[in-house]
Amino acid sequence: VPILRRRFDFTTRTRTDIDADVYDEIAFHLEMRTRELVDRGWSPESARAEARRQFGDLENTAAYCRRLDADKERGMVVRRWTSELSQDLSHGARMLARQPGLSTTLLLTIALGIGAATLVFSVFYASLLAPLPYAHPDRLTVVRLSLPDYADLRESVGAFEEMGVWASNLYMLDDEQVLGGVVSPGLFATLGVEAQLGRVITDSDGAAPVVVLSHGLWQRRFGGDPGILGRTVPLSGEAHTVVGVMPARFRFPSQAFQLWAGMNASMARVPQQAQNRALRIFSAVGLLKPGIGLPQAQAELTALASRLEREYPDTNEGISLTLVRLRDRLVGDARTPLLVALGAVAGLLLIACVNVANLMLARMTTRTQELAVRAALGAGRARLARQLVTESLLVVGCGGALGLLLAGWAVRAVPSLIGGRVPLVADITLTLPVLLIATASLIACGLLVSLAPIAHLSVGGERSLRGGGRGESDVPFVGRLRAALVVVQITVAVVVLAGGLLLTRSLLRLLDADVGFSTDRVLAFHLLLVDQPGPGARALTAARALEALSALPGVEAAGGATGLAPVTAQRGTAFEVEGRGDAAANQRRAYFVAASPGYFEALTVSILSGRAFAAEDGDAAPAVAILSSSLARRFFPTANDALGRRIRLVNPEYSNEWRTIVGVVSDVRYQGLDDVDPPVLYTPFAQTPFLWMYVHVRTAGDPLAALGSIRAALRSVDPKLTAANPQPLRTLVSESSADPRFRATLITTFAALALILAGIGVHGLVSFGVARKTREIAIRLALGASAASVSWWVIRQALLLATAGALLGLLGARLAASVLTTMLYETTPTDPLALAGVVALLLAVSLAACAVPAWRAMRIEPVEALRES
Amino acid sequence: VGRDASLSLIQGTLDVLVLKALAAAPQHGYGISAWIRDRTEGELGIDDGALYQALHRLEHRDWIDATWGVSENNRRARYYRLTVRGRRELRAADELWRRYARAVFRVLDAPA
Repeated sequence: VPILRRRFDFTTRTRTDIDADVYDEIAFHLEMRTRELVDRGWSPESARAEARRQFGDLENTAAYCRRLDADKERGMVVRRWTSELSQDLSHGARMLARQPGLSTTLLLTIALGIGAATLVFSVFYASLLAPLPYAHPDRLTVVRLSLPDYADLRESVGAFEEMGVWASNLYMLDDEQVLGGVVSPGLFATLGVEAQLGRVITDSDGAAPVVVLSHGLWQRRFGGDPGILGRTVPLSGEAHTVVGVMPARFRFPSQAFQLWAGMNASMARVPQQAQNRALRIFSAVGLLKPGIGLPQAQAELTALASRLEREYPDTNEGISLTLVRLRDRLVGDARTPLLVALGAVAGLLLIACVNVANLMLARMTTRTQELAVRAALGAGRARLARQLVTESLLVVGCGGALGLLLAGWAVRAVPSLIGGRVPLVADITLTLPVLLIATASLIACGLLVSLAPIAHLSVGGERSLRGGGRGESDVPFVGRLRAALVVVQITVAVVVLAGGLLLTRSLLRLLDADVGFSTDRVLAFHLLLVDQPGPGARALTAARALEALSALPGVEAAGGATGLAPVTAQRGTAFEVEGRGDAAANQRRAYFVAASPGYFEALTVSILSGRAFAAEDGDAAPAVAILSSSLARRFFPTANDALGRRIRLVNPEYSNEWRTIVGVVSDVRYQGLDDVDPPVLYTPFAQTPFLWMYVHVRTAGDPLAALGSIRAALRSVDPKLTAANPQPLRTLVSESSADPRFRATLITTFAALALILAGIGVHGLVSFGVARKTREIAIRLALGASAASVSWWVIRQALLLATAGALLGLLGARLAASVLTTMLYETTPTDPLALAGVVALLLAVSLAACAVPAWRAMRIEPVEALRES
Repeated sequence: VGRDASLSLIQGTLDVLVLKALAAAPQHGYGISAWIRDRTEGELGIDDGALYQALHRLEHRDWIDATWGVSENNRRARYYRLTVRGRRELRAADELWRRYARAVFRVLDAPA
């Protein structure tokens, strides 16, 4: 009787093995039968034939057996694999449960990394990757132009299937200023969207004043009343009929837009807008015909633009029509900050992974014996590696699931946190693509994390049993690997930290900048003059209103202008200086601000030369202008030289008479705090009365406290006048630094987390080193080494790691900084203070990280330590 | 694995015979074939091919498992043995067959 072995080996039979086995088995049978027959007296020849005959259908039997065996083999592979997987998983879970402190650190580290990365990626996805919420998002394009140009475009360009045009507009809805769009009937059709309630604006509306509300405005102002349809709402004094409410997820062009009013009605009201070829405040949205690409359509537009240049040189010379994809226009310059944030959070995730890898590696040393025993019992290297990968994936999977939960919870807070800073084309949610990417990065993290233990396995595996499980001391490679991992961490942390500090430094510079005016105790509000019957009435009413405000007790000065520093200059214009030729007139552009007497005083803008505007600079008086210092410098050697010279606007919207320069004022940053010394051309408001004015009132006390008396004074001048969106100038200034502040805070937060994780990495490595070298330290101490020299020995390790990481990191930061430059204000990527800050912080964290291990090393009692070992 | 319904009785019968052949000790295919022939005195004309198909089918069902071993004459042979499950199946089939046969015999033995 043969001795049977149960098959314990983990080998798998291949197709070829199975074929050979079946063949051998049948061959053995035939041979035995033949021999039996020969024994009974058959001739070998006929015995063989008889054996074959008794066997029957040999081919089919062999095929049948092979098929069954192959099928069984497959099943066994799957079963073995799942059973081993569940073994590994339960083993991994036991290991985690046995070291709760370590496990918590591992899980939280991964949860933090994955959670933060998922959160940032969900924002990135919602703004840059998610499909635009329109019918054919990829075919939508946009071009900025004037309405007459648009009419020509519709006539002569054939690349578009549908077209619509819009411009943004501020509306007064009672006392509230809301941002809206004035849209042509074709716009909604081009976007291919429908209203949630009622309908969108269509051609059938004609010139009737109609409006479609955003879901948000409908909910907020009208309580979601379904009876809103057909009701009229006053928009900037004119009754508009509500014909529809858009769905909650609809946004165009951004979430900030709360209503869309029909363009035909407003064109009927202000026909000159539709006829003004120079008024390029409109954007045409075109749906490209299927199969027509952007370059093809652009070629048509370029042909049109050069034709318009020839036909209308006054307004169109040097004007091109540039078609861009709607998405590119909507996302605007948010791409770079988003990429930077994504890069920072990816760095954070990498550091988290390295930390986990390092902790797993440290744990490996305590498991050397366990693994050696398993190897001795017949587990192959691949099998052990798979076990380690499974354990890593378990840790990363649990941590990642926790991170996704955190992200899912935090994602709801994101919209209020980022406000309108990031133009979102979709809602921020953990959508399927986001989850897929998160899962993919989780698996990548898991594999990354398991690389180090596997490297340990292949280098240290053979020696571990012999070494009696003493661990790493036998395997210098692993020590070096762990050090290298920590250096990688520090490098990444330094890059992120450098980004954060550069942005912070830029922010501080920005906050510290001299904006050119005083923000203390100044209230700014929007004064609408659209109700006034004409330009003369607007000038007069504005003058009387400002006079009434100046007379109020507690008001030190009051003035108005069409620009609101530091938010907007509202208008720009070309201009011409007398006697300086007009060759490059189109290149000469300046902000155009109409200002009242008292405006410079209220803002404390200093008069460098000449005088401010006065009440005498009225409509009938000689035309005058004031230049900003930077504009005057371009043409005149000193501010005094400008006085008495003449300048005129080159802009069909405004009268082009020559204006005598009567003064030069210091520079004001109109469009943002980083708008350094922009050229500004001021005219008296009375000579160029706009439809609105931003009034600035300097008060003796709290500016908001004066609001009541300010409103009363306005009503006394004209009951229709009101102070819209009143805000202290200080608030506006701090709001205009909100974007850089947010970016700096975000990246610095990531940097802080990265630094903490890197610190944990350093701490882990150094304290492990101390624990391992206890005996060596004890001998040194016994031989008379001082405690200081021992602690220096420990600290030196950390410093070496930090130095290596810092050098590599600064190099990396130098490479990455080119991305940052557009976000930096008066700060170079090599800003010495910021980089010194990086190094200082890194040193501080490294020293803090090795403080406890160093102290422990000093406290080693030589005698005890030596006796123990 | 598809089974031809019309052959199920034969197949089922063969399966029981194979299980019984392995009840005492592990055996290779030729040994099983010889054992069954001895017991049935060749009454059941079983193709050796059908026997091997039954062996692999039972192995696929995990009723028996197979190992390469060394035969009496020092040749490499594939040995089969009952698994725990196979032994259970044999007991069930044994009882079923006896009840079946008793019922059929009761009918056949009844006076005409």
